[in-house]
Amino acid sequence: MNRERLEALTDEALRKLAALEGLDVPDDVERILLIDALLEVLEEKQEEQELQNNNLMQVSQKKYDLTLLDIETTGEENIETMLPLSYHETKIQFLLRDPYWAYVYWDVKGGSLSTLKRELEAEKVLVRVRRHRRMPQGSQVSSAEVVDSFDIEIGCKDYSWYVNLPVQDAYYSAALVFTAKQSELVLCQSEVQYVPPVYSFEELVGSPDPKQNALYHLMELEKLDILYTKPTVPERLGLSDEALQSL
Amino acid sequence: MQKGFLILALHAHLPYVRHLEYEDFFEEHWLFEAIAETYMPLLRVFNRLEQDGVPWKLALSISPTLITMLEDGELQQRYIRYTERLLDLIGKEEERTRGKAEYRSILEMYRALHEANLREFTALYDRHILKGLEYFIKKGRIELLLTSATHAYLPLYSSYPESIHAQLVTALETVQGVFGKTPKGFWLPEMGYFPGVESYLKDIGINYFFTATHGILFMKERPKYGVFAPVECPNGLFAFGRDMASSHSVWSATEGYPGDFVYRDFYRDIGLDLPLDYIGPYLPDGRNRCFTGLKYYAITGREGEKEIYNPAAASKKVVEHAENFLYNRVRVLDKLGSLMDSPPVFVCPFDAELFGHWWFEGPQWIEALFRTLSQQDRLGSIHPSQYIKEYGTVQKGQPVFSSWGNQGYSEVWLDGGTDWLYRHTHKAIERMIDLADRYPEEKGLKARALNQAAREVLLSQASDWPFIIHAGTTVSYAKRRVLEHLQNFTRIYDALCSGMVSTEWLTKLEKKNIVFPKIDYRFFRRLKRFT
Repeated sequence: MNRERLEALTDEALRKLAALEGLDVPDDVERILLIDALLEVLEEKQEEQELQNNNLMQVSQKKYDLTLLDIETTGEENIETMLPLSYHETKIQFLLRDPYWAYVYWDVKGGSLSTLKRELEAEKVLVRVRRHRRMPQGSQVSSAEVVDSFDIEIGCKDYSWYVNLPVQDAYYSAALVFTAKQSELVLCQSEVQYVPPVYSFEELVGSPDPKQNALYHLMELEKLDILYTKPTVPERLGLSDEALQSL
Repeated sequence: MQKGFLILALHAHLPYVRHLEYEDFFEEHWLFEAIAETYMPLLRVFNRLEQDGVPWKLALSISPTLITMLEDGELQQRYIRYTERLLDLIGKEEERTRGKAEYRSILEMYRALHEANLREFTALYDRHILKGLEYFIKKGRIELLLTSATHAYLPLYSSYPESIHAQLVTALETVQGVFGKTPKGFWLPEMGYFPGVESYLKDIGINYFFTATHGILFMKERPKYGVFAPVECPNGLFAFGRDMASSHSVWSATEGYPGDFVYRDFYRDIGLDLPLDYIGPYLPDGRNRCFTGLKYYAITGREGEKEIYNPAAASKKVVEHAENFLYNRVRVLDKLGSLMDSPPVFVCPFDAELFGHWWFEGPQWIEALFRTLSQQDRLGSIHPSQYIKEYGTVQKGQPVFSSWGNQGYSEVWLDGGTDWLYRHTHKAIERMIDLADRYPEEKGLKARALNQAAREVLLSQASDWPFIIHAGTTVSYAKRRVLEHLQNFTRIYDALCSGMVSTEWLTKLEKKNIVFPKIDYRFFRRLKRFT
């Protein structure tokens, strides 16, 4: 990080940056103290960010390092809001993040879930997560028999959600569903995705074949971090338009 | 008699960054630093090995965006200017440190490095350093690998076969255009594998690819030989799984070789240390501190004062580390002898830029490794296609979704800070497919607009942008790039829909984002869906 970059900012920009970083700044704080505090927070933040990555990612990151710390001071953090919130089409997309979490986003024709909900006289809007017995034949998701499902009630201003997947080595899809007292309407359905199995170190080296176990031990699997830790919980669980605008 | 093999696979990649609208652009230095510290030193290593008759074999992927930048006349000129300025700074530093003996050998080293770079870049390679690599490809030392056109992280685009197809075919055209060869191997960006990607690879003539360790180990039927042998997929392609132990010893900053205290410290750079009025003229905008490439300290330790870097001591250590690497592989190899029916293979895939840019002594380590390998006969280096040819199918299975990113899957490219972008890149793909269907045989201005639209869609998919946002390095630039490409695409899409394409604007954009000159928008034509 360079102190000079912070020193080049106006007081107002420094205060804005401090607010973004969650610093509580008294009105009469000296500029130099504010810069010191910001430097400390930003450096800590970057250290934390780096430690969240595995060795490989930490090293890959160096390719893009031209300085010790990048700071966003131009207010361009809201770039997301410069893109449309809706493309006015009805769809739901299921993106597998890891064997435990999927990111689901959706869009509706007309752009507004609340309008649609009103028109359909629905009580609730749900994301229905379905577990299937197998991959569908062809493009017909309906041909993939559902063995289990659960619903997540969403707000009319939500447009995405991280979904926790309870079973691995399974097939999942998501649907956008409107429910009324006596009926429900499945508005759209994602493709089915295969969620791979996960194994522990003990499972990998627990073969009945002692030769295979001996060979697996030679791979030094204790260095394979995913055998010991679960993927992190996604840092935001769904985001409303309002939240997006306030970023 | 060789009892096992080492596959060293390097992946050279940088995102497309070219901003001629600025006199000096911060992020263009990614390329200049990589040329100076990685690509040129590696070429010298290869030449020395060749001159000394040392046998060596490695697999190398050079991403199409990097190929385009290395062949770009304007960027070549800017690299020359970068080096000349650096040599000027070295001269100034020689003056400033006159009388301080401890700096002399370091500055001599930097002067020799950058003078050799400049001389060879201009005189030996006539600015086209890919020619240097082509020589070794033709000689059979380097096996060329393909990767996707803009380094898209493919699992997050698995619902869009047309886009994956366009990424692959555009990449193939670029590589064939420069090297006149069709690679047989594929480097999945970030080792991001999803079941089915091998179908697209097979369509373009690929025979094998690399995966993360657990992409192989987590298969439903446990592979008998783990990652010590490639796995033949149901469609006949071979997957080579990363060997954790050998990768770890090079990748790990703490336990790996690059963290040794005698090696050069990456972070202490005079661009950050010296007064701004002195160093300012050598910084991109004269004001914002950044790395200059002149670093005087050794890693030394985690705490306390850093010691001055000693190049001779580091060179000695490199040889020790190469010997240690070989010793550890041979130790495992000896034990594997009774457990396997075919020769084991140790697959070591690395980012090329790790060697030289981050681990300054990395190219020397590669040289020492091949020299050490040549002094014994139990472990040899081999190309993946040669292994497949000689030993055929050793084990079969269906690899599973995986990557080499943190926690092994997609969280580096899909998290709370980056999830927003997929809605838009996916939509751009859908629209691009519609355009390719709607305009099957366009020529002239419309075809130019469609080709540029295809470029913008591909550029928006680079895995670098979500990676950088996740890593928190040059976040605002990465966000701006995604936005810029999506907005450019949308503007072309709207213009084509309304039948009003602005020639002036399009020409300007074509000059700016000039990547993949031979792109064909028809690569995005709707494909029959895979089932």
